[in-house]
Amino acid sequence: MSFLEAKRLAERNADPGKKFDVEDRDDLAKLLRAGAALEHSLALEYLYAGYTVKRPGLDEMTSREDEAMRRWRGTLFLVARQEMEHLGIVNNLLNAIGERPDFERDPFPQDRTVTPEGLPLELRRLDKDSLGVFIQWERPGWKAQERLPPNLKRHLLVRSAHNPFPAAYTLEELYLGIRDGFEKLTREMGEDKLFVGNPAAQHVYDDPSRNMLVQAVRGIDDARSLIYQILEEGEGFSFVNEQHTTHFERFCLMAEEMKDLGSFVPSRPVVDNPTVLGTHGGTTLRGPAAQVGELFNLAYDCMVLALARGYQYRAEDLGPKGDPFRVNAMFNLGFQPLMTNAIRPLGEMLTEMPSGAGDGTFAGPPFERLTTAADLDQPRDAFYPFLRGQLQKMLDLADTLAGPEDGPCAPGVPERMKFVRENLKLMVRKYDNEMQGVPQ
Amino acid sequence: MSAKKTRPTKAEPKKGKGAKTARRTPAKAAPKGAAGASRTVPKRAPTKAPGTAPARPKPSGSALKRKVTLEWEGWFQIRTSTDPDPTDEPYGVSGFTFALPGEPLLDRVVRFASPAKDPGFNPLQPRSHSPPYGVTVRNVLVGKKPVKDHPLLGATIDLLPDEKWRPPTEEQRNNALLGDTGDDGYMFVDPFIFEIRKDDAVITCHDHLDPKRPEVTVLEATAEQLKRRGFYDMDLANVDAFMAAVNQAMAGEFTSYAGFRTKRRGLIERDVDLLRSIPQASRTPEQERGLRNLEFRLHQLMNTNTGDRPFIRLGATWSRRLTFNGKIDINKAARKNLGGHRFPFSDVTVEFWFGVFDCDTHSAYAKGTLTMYVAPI
Repeated sequence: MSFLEAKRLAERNADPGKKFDVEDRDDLAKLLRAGAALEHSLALEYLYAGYTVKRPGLDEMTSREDEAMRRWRGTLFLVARQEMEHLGIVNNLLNAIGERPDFERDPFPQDRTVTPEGLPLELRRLDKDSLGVFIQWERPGWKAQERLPPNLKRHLLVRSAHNPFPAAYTLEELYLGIRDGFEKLTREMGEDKLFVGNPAAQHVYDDPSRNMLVQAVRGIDDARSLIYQILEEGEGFSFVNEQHTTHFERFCLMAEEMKDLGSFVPSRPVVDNPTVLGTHGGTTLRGPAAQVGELFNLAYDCMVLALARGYQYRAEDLGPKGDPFRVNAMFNLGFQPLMTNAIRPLGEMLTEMPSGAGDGTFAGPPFERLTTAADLDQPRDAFYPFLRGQLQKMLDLADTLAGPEDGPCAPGVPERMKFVRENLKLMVRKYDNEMQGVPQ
Repeated sequence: MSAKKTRPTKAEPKKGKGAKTARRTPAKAAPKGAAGASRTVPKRAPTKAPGTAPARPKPSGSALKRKVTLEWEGWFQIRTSTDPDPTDEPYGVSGFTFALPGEPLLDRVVRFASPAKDPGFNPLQPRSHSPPYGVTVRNVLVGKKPVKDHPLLGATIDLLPDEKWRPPTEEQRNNALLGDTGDDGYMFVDPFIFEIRKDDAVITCHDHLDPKRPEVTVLEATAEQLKRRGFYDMDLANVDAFMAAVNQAMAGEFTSYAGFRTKRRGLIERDVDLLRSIPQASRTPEQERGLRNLEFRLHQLMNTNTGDRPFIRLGATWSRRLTFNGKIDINKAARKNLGGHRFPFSDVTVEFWFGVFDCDTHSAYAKGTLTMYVAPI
């Protein structure tokens, strides 16, 4: 939906010099929501590809291939983390202008008639084609392209093979439209009238070891610099990044290496766009993979619910003295343990399980949402019991799949499920402890 | 491990001069000078019952029990995955620790023992340019006095597996273990069975998360039980610790971790050059794999974009303190070395920090004391 709204805004603009002409706060929020949906979708796309990469102990590889696959997985996860960082930045921008933060996106595969540049947003295993699409997503804008060295420039040539759809707007045009919108509204309304959000709702994160930096937005200068950060980290907007760490360059390097490895196939034969719900196309998972896929969806959905509620920073969620205990509990649940000790292990496990199609393919994580905006927006007394209920469903299903403590897992379910069950129990115990300590 | 800064827990008192006194003071005694402290009452002369024998002079406290402190330290190995990899990641992808091709999987086991000891169980997996492993007793104090020729000098310190042969393992689960925020860096080690061994002399001290149910693991323990085993203080820039550890490993030439990092890089570059000087066609598969592994380590060391990840915790230490709550075994030879048996019902306490993580070699340093009271024979 957010891409469609951005496309309509692009079509509305008559000025040939730029793609978007933001007229009011509502227009700006629409573009920011499109940005949030894009960053969220790209993060999942890269994570999915990373989960499908061949792993030692599971797939036969030479030491050279083994070492390259580890690096590629690391690269895909790193870029995915930075897309999450960008999602955090966009939500800080939304919060800063008093708009609701946004974690919504369309289901995979997404409608290419509305996606930026008409590029595909779908869950695909890592191969030459999907990497080609990643490069297109992260490529510098037209001006910067002219300055690209030949070894990088040649990776742009595959564009036509992947993009039969007309480009409504590019990723760069979207963010430049957002930047121009901030500047225009600041000029017209004044900084104090535009930046009316609660400063305490800004979620700040700085961890160089994870390559992540999310800063607070307090005014137009912060907004400008954070939009620049998104463009710089992704595509190397100015092309002054001398450390060659842009997503575009990382993916180009991977493509070069892929070529050097010849006929080596870097990923397991994992299906495209796996689904448990089966409501938006894709490949329906069957058998044990469907159950693990369901558990994955529950974990992913709880994570999104927790982060979205935390970013909202609602007054009713604060303690009597304004203490953000509940907000912190949401972030403590969503960020680390669920992402690292449930979502990733489950995602990797699925790529080891037959998809159930009977054609030798393996399953993958479906990344399907199970709850709606109405669930998220429930008042405090309803939301927290609802979230706890979702966590309990997740625990119960993990318990069934992991089997008895000293016995085997459910048929067809990898042993790693026992580790996931342990982690989920710990996370829910931690969550319960934190929520018990919250002053009413 | 991660870069997130956390506050120390309140579970244990802060390290400081008053801390130990406070712990040793009976709970009801008011501190000197504090409000409510009892007035000084002049002591009466003891009344002697008629017809009783003259009282024997009481032996002094030091003759009854003697405080023995073993000061120990050394490098050990811990091959663990690091955030944001999940705890059970066996190879390492997104963190800053990796099991390279040909190396065993990352297993989170804490290996204190020197390579010479018990190679069949819990063996170390040294990489090239690892520091010298082995945690040993460096000083012995009786009372406050160092004993230069004490028989326990040089004794090895080890962490033992439990009865089910579970090795001492680091557990953190990416901050999912504790019920409050800021549990980063706890890195619980369980089981925790501390052994001091020299020749025939063996002292073994057991600690349980739940002394009433010794089978309880970190997964079942309560937050309070976990915090007791966790750290009470942390220092992310502990220069003294870095100097103590690193200069011991590399001949005292460093004042900052940047120098250590540069030196390690130079050593690996030299090894890479040596292997590259062999024509590719003549290299054995082991040499080829070794070259790739060294190149990977070099890449990590050169990659300053990611916050010096292999050495990111070189300056960090986490302090722990606990009084063993399980069985204390001191064999005959150890009793002889100690000059007596453990004073009945007295505490045996271990206090130490570990940290100075050299993630390039999966190494870390530990330094601390073990204190007990001995009743002289």
